[in-house]
Amino acid sequence: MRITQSMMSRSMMSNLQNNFKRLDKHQEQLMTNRRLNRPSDDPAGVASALQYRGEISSTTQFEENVEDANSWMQFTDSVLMETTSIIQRLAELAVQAGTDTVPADARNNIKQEVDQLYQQLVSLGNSQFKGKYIFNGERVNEAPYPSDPANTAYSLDEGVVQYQIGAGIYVPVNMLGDKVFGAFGDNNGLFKVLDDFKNALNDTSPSGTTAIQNAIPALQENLERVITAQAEIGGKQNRLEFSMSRLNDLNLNYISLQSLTEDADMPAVITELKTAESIYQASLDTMARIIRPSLLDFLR
Amino acid sequence: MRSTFHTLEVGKRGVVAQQTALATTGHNITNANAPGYSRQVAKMAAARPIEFPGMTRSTNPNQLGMGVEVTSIKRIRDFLLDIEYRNQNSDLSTWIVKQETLSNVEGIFNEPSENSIATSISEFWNAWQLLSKNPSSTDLSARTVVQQKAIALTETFNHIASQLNTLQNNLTQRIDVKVAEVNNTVQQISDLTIMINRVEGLGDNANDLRDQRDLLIDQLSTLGNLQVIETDDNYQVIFGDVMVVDGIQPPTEFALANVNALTRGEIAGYVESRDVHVQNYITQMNVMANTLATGKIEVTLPAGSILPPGVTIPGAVMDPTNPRKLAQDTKHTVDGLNGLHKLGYTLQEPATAGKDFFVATGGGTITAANIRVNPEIVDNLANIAAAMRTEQVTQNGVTTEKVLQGNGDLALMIASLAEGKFDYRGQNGAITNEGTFAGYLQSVIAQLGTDSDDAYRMVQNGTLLSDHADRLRQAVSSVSLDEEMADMIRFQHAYSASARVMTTIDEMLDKLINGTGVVGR
Repeated sequence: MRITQSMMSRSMMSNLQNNFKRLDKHQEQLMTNRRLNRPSDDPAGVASALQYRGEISSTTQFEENVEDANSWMQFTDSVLMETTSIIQRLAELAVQAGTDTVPADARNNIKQEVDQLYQQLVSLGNSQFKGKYIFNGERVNEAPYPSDPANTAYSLDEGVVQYQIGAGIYVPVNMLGDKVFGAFGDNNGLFKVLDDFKNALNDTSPSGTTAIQNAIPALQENLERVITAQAEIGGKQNRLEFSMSRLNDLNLNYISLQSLTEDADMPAVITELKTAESIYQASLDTMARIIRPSLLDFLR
Repeated sequence: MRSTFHTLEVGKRGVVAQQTALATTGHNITNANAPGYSRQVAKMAAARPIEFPGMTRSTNPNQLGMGVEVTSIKRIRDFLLDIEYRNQNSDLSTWIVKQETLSNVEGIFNEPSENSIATSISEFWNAWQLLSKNPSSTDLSARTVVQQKAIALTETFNHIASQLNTLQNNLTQRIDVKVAEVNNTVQQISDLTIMINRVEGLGDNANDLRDQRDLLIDQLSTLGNLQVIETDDNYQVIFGDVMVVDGIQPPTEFALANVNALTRGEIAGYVESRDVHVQNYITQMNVMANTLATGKIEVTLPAGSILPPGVTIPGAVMDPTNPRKLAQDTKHTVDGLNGLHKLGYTLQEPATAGKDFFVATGGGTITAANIRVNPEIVDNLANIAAAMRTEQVTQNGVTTEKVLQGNGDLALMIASLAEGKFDYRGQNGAITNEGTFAGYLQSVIAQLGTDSDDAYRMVQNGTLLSDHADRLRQAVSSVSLDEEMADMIRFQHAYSASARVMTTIDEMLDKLINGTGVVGR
């Protein structure tokens, strides 16, 4: 083939252009620290990168949901703790008052305290977490208990509030009031037992003493109910902890997969950049050597 | 007997011919870098000889040479290589345009990044999770998040749709410009054809004019596929399916209506980019927007959900005490997010079922360009439905139906649409029958990446092929300075030698005229 100057300079220019393009590509990867800057950089890689990004986004949301569920349960747990100690105190008072030798005065004092504790239990039943009543199912905007729940009819909602903590995984976060305090109309309900106890303290006859003594096993039963509720919360908290560490692992896994697909392998890119750079320089050098001499240079 | 001055004339012809050849060499050297120029050579041939003159007609077989003659100045060019180059060039131009367009589309989608549609979509689903945790009126911030993320999502759809639309309009404009360029070039080719016709009618070679015409044809081949038919007495150019140049007749205008006949070249590239590629991504965005709002998807309605009045679910088992209450978890296929949203209740009192969540600006079918959040939701956060349960509340003897504000089942179900498989079968041009919403976008983006990558590769290959064809052409036609320098020396020496012949004859004549017959002078 016949080769001419213009052919050489043209092919040198296009080769130079290619080398320059390669240099630009590596430069971009280095600057953005990313291997994938547009879908055509690696179509399959970008599709997985999008998937990882989506997974990271939802996993992060699930982590947040677990945290929120956890704080709701912690709050419920603290309410239940207080309820437990109140019931224990009431049991102590019942033991104190449950003998015939207790003077009427003392019973009256005990009655005062029981009354206070009753009020306290009602307000515990009406606890709010972030503005929502926690014992009224999904009727969160209404207080579940009237001021005297032993003698005023009420009915609680039994809706279960669920938080999503994984793909297709839900955890109920609320504790229903009836499971803690007993439903209205239940003679063993905490408020009813307390009301009976209170009334018995007014009764100075032996039947009053019997009634007070009867309160002790009734309170015990209520204590067990609250402790069962606490155990349920504890179990759920446990489950949430597991979920949390699983989500953390999952997220870490997705983040490292994302980085693997999207991020530039720095040492490799730098090496390639350096190679491209030296190739570019070599081609410039070659051009400078080849372009100049022609027959012209040797004729006088 | 031959003439006394015969050889002087032969020498002169030699000088003139070498001078012409030298001039041609000079012309080549000065045009070495002129685009489209093909090198020329002065064809030299011995002049027609005459019979050796004698007193009578000679019977000797001798003929006397009459020296040299430049018979023609020819350009060195191979028209088959021209055809090859033009074909490759048309192909390459198509791909360059397509690659440019697709890389533009990539820019519009801007994936993967922090502010792309994929991000808007995940944030939108997450917002519903947030609402499922805080559905009541005690904290409206979760509702604000849903509203704002939904607006952001619709705006992203609108933005992409409008960008793709603008791109289509730009491509249309380019097609107009390129068609005008075709006609401009055709006009020049026609003008040149007339001039060439005139020059060559006189028997000359219109080399430089032909070079110019061929260069214009090369340029035209960038715009579209063409065919050149050259015969001894005519020159025709067929561009697409129109014979634009037919000898010296006025050129035929290439109209916008003819662009669809083009199969290659920039114009075909623009048409295909606009009507196939960009249109495809507009279609895909429409499919996505419409499916999100109204596409069929199966959800599981939780037991205890209260259906809005008038809604019946085929095969559902209802609570005996309440005909609107689901007795058990029920699978149901809804018409997209809109259909699901209508199964739940807003914060309004008395309990009101949700309305369409997404609507089309100006009504009609929802597309990526017109999708927007229902203005009633934009105006009032309470109109977002999150709950699936209501209860009858009697107060002062009046019974009203109230929503259970703590119920976020609907929000939770909407959030779970992220994992659900939408049915795309009803959508024109959908690339899959069913799949998750994010999965669909991933397929679209992967397709975009593949298309763009293919186009890039085709540009690379096409450049190689077209460069190769051009090199073959250049190998024949382009000017080699070394070669021209060698020729120059050759012609220079031949010139000197011819001049030397003249000098010799001069000396001989000098001898004859001044040196003979001088005896006794």
